[in-house]
Amino acid sequence: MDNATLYTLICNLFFPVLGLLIWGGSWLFGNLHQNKLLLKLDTEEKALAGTVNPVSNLSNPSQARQIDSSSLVMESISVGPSWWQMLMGSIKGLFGGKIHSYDKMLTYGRRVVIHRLRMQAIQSGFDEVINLRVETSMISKKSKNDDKTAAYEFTAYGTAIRYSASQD
Amino acid sequence: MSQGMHLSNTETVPGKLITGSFGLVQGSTVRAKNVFKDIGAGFKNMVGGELKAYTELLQEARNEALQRMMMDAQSRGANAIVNVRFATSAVAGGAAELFAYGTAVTVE
Repeated sequence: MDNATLYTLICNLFFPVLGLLIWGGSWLFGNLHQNKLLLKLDTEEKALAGTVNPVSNLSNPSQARQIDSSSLVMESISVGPSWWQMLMGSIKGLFGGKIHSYDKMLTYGRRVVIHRLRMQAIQSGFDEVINLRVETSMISKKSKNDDKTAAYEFTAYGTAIRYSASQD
Repeated sequence: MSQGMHLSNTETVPGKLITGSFGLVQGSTVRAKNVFKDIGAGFKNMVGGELKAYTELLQEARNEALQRMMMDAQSRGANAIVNVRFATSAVAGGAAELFAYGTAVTVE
């Protein structure tokens, strides 16, 4: 094989190989990274498992006790699916039906934002969070088709309550 | 965050009595993403997961919308805002509007 045929071979294979590396890398590292995140959240949630869960979407305090103070608390996070998941989603979108590939990061985002709100309430010494609302919005969709960025934002907010210690 | 102003997203301020109402107050801000952060987030998107640059940007923007709403309430002489709601919308490619609204009241 002389140099010229080798050169054309490399030129012809460059983009297919690059594409394979990008999508393959996205699949491999995306899975590793996302599984790590989910495992971390699992262990953090398990650590709180025994304690009382103070977060609810009731509009009134659950206990008829004197209230010392209250405050608005909120947490937000933006998460995005990996390129591989987006590719799978768009292929699946042609035929319709369940799109599993988006599920992972969407459920993760919602879980993590509620978990963080709970942690925030516990750390600032509040007894419970009522009237929880979780909102989802899509934040980066450009009209351009070649935009590789997609992100969803989850916001959780509620009213944190501290009961006064004197009455019990 | 609340600097003397009581905020809540319930219809009352828990444990307090509402004595006067001043109507709807609102605050909003439009933020665009930074081009460099955008590129960074685009690469982070390859593996998915949390995009910290966007998280921070939107938290900042939401706090500003909240501040503006609180200034609105303060100028009317209210000391609390009840039934606070947030809304986010993408107004243009790469820009988001964050909007906070509620009812300004006085509590004792």
